[in-house]
Amino acid sequence: MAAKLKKYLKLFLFIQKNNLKTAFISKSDALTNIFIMVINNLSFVFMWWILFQHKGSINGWGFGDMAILFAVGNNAFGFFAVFARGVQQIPEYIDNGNLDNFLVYPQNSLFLISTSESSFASWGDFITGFLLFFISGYVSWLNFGIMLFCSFLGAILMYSIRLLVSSMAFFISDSQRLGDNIFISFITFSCQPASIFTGWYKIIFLTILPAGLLSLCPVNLIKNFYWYEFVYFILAIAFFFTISIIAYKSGLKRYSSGNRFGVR
Amino acid sequence: MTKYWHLFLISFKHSWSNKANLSGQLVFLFILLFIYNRLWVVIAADSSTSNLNQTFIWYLLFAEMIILSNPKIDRVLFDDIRSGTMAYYINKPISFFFMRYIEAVGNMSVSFLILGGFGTPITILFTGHPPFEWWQFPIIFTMCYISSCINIIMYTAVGMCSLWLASIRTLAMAIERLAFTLGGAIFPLSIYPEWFINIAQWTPFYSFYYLTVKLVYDFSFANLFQAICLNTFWILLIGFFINIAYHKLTKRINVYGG
Amino acid sequence: MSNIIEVNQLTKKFKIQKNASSLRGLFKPEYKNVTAVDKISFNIKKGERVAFIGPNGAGKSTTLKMLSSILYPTSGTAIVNNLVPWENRHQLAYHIGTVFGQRSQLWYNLPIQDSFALIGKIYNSENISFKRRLSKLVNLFEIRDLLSHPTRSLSLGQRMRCEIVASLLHKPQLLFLDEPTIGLDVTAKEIIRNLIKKQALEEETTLLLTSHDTDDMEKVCERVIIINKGKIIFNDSITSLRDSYLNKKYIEVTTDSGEKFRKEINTKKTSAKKAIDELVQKYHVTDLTIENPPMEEIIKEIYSRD
Repeated sequence: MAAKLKKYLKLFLFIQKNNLKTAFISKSDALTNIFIMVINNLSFVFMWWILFQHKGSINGWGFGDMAILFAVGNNAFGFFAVFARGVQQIPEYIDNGNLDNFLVYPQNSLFLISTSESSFASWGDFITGFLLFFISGYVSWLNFGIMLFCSFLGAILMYSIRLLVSSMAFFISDSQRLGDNIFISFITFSCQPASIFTGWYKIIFLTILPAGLLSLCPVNLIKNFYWYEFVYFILAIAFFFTISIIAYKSGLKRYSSGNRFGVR
Repeated sequence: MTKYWHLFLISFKHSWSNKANLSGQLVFLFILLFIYNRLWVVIAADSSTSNLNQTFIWYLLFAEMIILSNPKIDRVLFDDIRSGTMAYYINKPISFFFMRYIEAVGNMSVSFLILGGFGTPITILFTGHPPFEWWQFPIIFTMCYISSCINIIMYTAVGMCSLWLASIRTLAMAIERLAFTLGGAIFPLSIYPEWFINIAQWTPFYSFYYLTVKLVYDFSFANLFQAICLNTFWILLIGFFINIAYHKLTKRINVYGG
Repeated sequence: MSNIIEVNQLTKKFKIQKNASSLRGLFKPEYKNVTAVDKISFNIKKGERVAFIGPNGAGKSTTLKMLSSILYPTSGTAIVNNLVPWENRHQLAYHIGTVFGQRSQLWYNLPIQDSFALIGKIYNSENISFKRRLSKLVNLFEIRDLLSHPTRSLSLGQRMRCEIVASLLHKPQLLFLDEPTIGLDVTAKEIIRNLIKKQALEEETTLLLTSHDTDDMEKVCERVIIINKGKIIFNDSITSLRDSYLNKKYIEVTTDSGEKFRKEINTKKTSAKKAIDELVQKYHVTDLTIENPPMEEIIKEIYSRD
């Protein structure tokens, strides 16, 4: 098991090295893309900063809370987009038949698919993420650790949601647009001050529509750390991750039994 | 001219049949309306002012109708230019860009109507009476529709940049974001500080989005006139740029067209 | 010699959803059954070079995908290198190589050598043996000059050579090639065929290739399996196919007045020389072509004899 893990880790690092190489074929392009990404992210933060300048706080949330939310959100998206964005391509791989290429290798197909694409510009998300953490007013080593941990788990949650919607393509054809929209909606929900969702809304956002796991939990954990919340956070994300893997596996089984595509 | 009308109709019908895409846009619109309605209701309760959502949600509806109905013509043009498809059209009795533009307008029109058709009742449900008089509705609707058409012209210009850039995805994303901030697509510019508005005024986003959509809560013929004048100015300027780029393109067609 | 592939009564039925593109299809799916591969049985010996020929939709690729572990069959059995493909996907992967002519396993923007290195890692190759292997294949396929170029800058023929090398890096005993010459021009086709054959002979690789092109099978393979509508309709050596079917030739001449005349001969009954002499005497010939009957025609003929 440990040997296997080591092998995958080695392979992972090798693939990342190649991704960087690809990105740096044109150095100026690569750096411009990162720069534009940072500006993009900050412009969104700026909009909220303006609103908080007007209103001071929204249901107990100040701009600092919003900065933490965006720090976790950006870092999580960075992890996802740099290291595992390939899941997004599953519908396309199914349509153009490239999925076959991943299936004939002696490695886990999901691992190879996930790492098959990487967005270099998303390194800019990390820059934004760390920057926002440092201006949030919650700076301490402990909080930094919590923020990083939440970002990593948040990335796993994003990955799970993306894998879930991508796996729809095994069952419904032409589902790419629908999947993209669900994923973007999920991201949109998790980019709002979580304090505006109270009562039933809050419960929904922490369970069936897990956007709250990405917005509410990290900020709460940094403001007031409660073990039960921390454990719930981890368990809930583990749950979504497991479901998404099951969805992928059953989808793959269906693909292999050939319901999904016609005779070529 | 009839051929372009025909093209418009075909594109309109084609987009109409793409239910998956339309429902995706609708779901996204509902989500935005829902979230920001919550936000403004909560803020209003906090600061004991009422009807904030009436102003801002109606504003958001029209702004999003423009933004979500964007048919992404830039990607189509990028593919056409890079794959050399456009070379095959150069000897046809139809203007290539105008053809793509009309197709995009047909595509956008479907989305725009659907988003407006479903978004309006939802917004009424959220906020009750709109901040404008009903007789002003057709004027605002038309103005926003025109803004959507201008939006496509702007993205045509983005698509033309495929001539110089290896990828236009980041540029398109940057323009989208600028529209959100400088155009005030989520929060109207009136809540931004003055120095920011002063900058925004010099960009095309200011008139396409903010000035036009502002008619929703601040309707006057003076505002209407200002919006029309500024929009005309920007159309001419961007049109000029596209024209130059097009002439460059036809010279370089051998390079990409193969 | 022992069999490396044993196929018995292998069947694949596709359920094709008729209303798949609508959302309603998710809740009320309507299916149509298509039998792509219909109870086929055959064996392939170690080191054999076998062509799998048939028209579009005959079931070639489906069979190949089942044997290379991508698809599960509906019924029947298959043993590839002592393994059941769809049950031992990872184990089998080390012993087989696959080339899909219409798809690429090379990274589009990366230099070829980086793609190779990555594929080496995926197969857990040792560094030293990998380098030795790579340099051997690079020489064999004459791609040393291409190594530092990214995939996107290669011509289709060059890319195909690299694709084949990529599939051979882990030294598979068995190579599946799905339409390896599709889309190539005549020269490039010829180069690819020669290289495939050379490699197979040198390393005793078992080949199974599908193609539309009769030349592919004639130049590369010893045996041919012809499949149509999911059924095997011919399974014998190339020589016997040639003897029984490919002796038909078409001779076409163009006269100086621009007219064309076409003559069909059976080389067993009439020699080509005699036929040409006749034509030359009869007309003022400016141009002359000799053609094999097209694939579809051979198949039609084989099919009608059944």
